[in-house]
Amino acid sequence: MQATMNANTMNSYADPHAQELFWLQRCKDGDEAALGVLVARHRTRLIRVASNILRDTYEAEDVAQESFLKAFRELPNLRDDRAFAGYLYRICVRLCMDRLRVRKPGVAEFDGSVPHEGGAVENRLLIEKLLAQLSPDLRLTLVLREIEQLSYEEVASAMQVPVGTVRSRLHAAREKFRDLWLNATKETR
Amino acid sequence: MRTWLRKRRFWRTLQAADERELNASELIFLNACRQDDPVVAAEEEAQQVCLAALRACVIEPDDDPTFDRRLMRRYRIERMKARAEYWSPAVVGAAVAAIAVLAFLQVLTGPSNLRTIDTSRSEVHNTRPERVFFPEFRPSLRDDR
Repeated sequence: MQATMNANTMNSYADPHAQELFWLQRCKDGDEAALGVLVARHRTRLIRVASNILRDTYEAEDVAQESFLKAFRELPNLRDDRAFAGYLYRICVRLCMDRLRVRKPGVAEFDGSVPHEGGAVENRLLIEKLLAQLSPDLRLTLVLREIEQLSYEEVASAMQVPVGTVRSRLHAAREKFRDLWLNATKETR
Repeated sequence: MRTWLRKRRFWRTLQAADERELNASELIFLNACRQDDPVVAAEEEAQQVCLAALRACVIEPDDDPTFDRRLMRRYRIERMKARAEYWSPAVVGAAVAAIAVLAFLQVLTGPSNLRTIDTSRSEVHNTRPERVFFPEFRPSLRDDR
């Protein structure tokens, strides 16, 4: 009943930002329905970014759940409620980074006898192999910029590093990725 | 050395195009580099191809209907654990205090003869049995004669 009333009250908020603040306040008061609303709002984006960084949907879901749990745990300490989305995103990126660091670095296993045809599936496999060979920092920077299409400032905020570091990492990541790509596809050229 | 610096400047300028619009002199410089050095031009093309392939490899995960339920279950378990961790020192403290009070009450209200028994036992252990002499049965030398 209470939740329905709150939902009706929410309809009066046209601004999604104001809605977010409302649900956050409800969460702080211990309302589980409000938690559900926040999860529904941010779930898709979080799973997507984690999937693209980790290249594993199951692990990405696990990371997304951990991110939500950590965010809800720290919710009472959040100073600025307006920053919740960014805060959640940062947690997710950091958890992905931790997972990448634990993984063993990828080993180049290019079969020179099979020429790279450039098909969609083949490209995908190749890209995943190449990404596995980048260091976690370079990989994360490249994915956030190229796949997630974040600006330099947004990448810096998500990774909690200065913008200058993002610039140099992106430069190094592109260079390394290009060299790996050239090395992998040189048989067909 | 000069070529290396020029190449470096080429890539830096190219990357700057990510953040802002390049001015006329920068565009002229890029074009000059491409024309002068075919290796640079080929590398630039390769970079465009591989980054386009990377962008095409975006994963769009399916919406898992059980995600919310699993998350809420994990959330409730975590909250229960947190509560247990928060209250466990108080519960342990209260239990210890209760045991201490019970033991104290037991000592106070216990049967008083326990003390007597203990005392008598200690006396038994501490005293030696007395020797009993029977003078009438004492052998005498006179009888031997």
